[in-house]
Amino acid sequence: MPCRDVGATMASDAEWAEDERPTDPGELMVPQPVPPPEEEPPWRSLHPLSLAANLVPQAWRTARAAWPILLALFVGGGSMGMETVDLSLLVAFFGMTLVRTLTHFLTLRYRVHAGRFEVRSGLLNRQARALDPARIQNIERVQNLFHRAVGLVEVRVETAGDASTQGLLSAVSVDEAARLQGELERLVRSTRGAPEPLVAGPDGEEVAEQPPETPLVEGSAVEAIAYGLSRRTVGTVAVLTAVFAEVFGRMNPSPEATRQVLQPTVIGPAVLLAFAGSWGWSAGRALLKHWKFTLVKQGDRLVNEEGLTTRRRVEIPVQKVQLVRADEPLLRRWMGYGSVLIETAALGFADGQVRQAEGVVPMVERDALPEVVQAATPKVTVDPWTAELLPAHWRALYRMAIAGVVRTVLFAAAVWWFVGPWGWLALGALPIVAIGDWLEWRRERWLVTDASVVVRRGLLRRSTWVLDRAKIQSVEVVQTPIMRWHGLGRVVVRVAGNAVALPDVALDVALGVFQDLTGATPQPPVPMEAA
Amino acid sequence: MSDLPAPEEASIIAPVSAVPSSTPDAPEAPPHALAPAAVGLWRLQRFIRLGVVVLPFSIAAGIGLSTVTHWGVGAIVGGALLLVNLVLAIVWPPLQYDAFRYAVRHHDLLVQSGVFFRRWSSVPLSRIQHVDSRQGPLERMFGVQRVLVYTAAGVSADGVIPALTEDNATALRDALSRRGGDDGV
Repeated sequence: MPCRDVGATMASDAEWAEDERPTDPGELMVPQPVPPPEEEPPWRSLHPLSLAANLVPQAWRTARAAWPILLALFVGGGSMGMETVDLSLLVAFFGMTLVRTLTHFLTLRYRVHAGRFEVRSGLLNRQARALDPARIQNIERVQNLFHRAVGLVEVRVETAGDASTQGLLSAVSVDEAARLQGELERLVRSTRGAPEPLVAGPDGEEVAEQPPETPLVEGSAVEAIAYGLSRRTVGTVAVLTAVFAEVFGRMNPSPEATRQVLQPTVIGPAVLLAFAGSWGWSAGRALLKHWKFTLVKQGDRLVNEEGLTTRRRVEIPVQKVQLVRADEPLLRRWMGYGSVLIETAALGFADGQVRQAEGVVPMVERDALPEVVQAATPKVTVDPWTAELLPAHWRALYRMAIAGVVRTVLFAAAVWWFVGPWGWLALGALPIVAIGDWLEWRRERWLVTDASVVVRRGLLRRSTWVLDRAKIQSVEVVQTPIMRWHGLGRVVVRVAGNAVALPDVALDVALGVFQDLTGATPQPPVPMEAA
Repeated sequence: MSDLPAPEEASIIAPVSAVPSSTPDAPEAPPHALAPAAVGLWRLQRFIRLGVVVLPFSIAAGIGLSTVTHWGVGAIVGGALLLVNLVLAIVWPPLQYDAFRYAVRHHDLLVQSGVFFRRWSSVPLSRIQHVDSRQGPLERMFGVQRVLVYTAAGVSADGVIPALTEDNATALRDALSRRGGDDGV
């Protein structure tokens, strides 16, 4: 630090850079020129039409928070004088919704500043979030029918390890969403030291140059319907059957009516109708959700777009992909297709449940599965569909067979409890269970290479998990008492947000895999003072 | 996927021939044990659970069964529940203590645990998001602390070292939380 002439004018505090303040009082320092502070970008607000776009979601949120009051309102009945109370509650409910919507619009502000995405909101409970771009897992643009009608889009910026979306902009213009997304993506890349060059945008602003797109999958409406038809529908049929039984029981039918309903000529078509309804429902949902689904590789990110009424566009940086799962259920396999689920560490919350798979490609031709999986996990240098995967240990079959027998006996006992001695006929399922276990065991496969872990299992619903070893968070070997008896072990590999269990293998093989995955060679313990 | 190597080129660490049919011994245990006070702590916790949960449940189950079957059946089932839990409260903690070992290696935290259900887990140090040490009233009474290791893999995957002396817990927490590196997320 250069010395300053005695008698020279003292610099004010503001003129000294933070790390250049003199530490010695006798030492006077020459003030270094401090770069002018970066001009702060203005805070941006939501589009005014977000008031309309947010009304329904806010009403839903308020209803969920105030459900006991609303329940009491609806089931309480309208005795004398209660109409006023009911009216007051309804006014309070809608008033609260309106206030929430208005507050959301008036207080939510966002900007990209100092290399971070900042969002602030709230009137009484103020909240300010600054997202480090390195933590961004994926950026999602969602357009429901209203958004599309008025040219708006919802932007979701998701980070790891939180089920709530950290940066949620419920309604901004399409251009603003594209600008923001470009800016955020540029920031994300800059954290990896490779920002993309800037080019002039539509409004004259500088935006990141978009790399060329490589289409991987383009789906049709027919394929979306086929996806819905090939999903499991037994659960829906079971629910429909239970509802029918409950309704029929409550109708208190006469023995004659019961006998007529339980005729095979009635039951058979009813079951077929239930399956047809279930398939129709599933196909309809798939059509709405996966309409014109596409998966595109754009530079180092995957872009997944789909949806009829609500159009969803997810951009996933490939380096954020934790796990890829390819599902090939029997029916879909017969059609020549499989599905691919791409998971990041972000835990989105959608449709009332935690959504783990960020990118879902519902129908991929089976020949194209390796290409799609490799696009999502480029460091994985093995093709799970052509590589020779390793089998489970033969004792694992023995273990599965015992488990199958126990399950069947318990099932037969339960049937016997309900229908009497004839229930033991359920034991006749034992050979089928045994054959099923054998086929399941034969299809259990695994492989650990220098760069990847691959697991495949399932007879009717075959799934293949592929993960990059660089993403492993922890590894464990588990051994139940029965596995110990058989000398088996199971390796469980965890990545952020999910885990994959390898098939049961001999314990020393499991420990060898454990050793390989957790460190090349055994190391002596780190000396700890207190250890 | 034509640019992928042929299957045989991929480095397979455990080829089919490596899968033995014999039952191998368990690997060498990591060197560090928990604080010996863990046995007393776990016993006390089990006795408290016995009094607060198992005893009322056993009595309720015994009475319930007595009403639908012979009173002797209820008494036997209720008594057996109590006896099993009492024996477990006395016998289980030392077994649990002996089975638990851990080590901080250069690259990971290695934990071995489980009496019947054995488990060896490894958490690479670079993957640790944060480390937490906790001490409840009973733990304070025995002078031990829990150390919880969080990774991005989720709550179920986190490592828990259940009963360390306060000095050991502090040393372990410091040893684990000072490591940086790529967290894989």
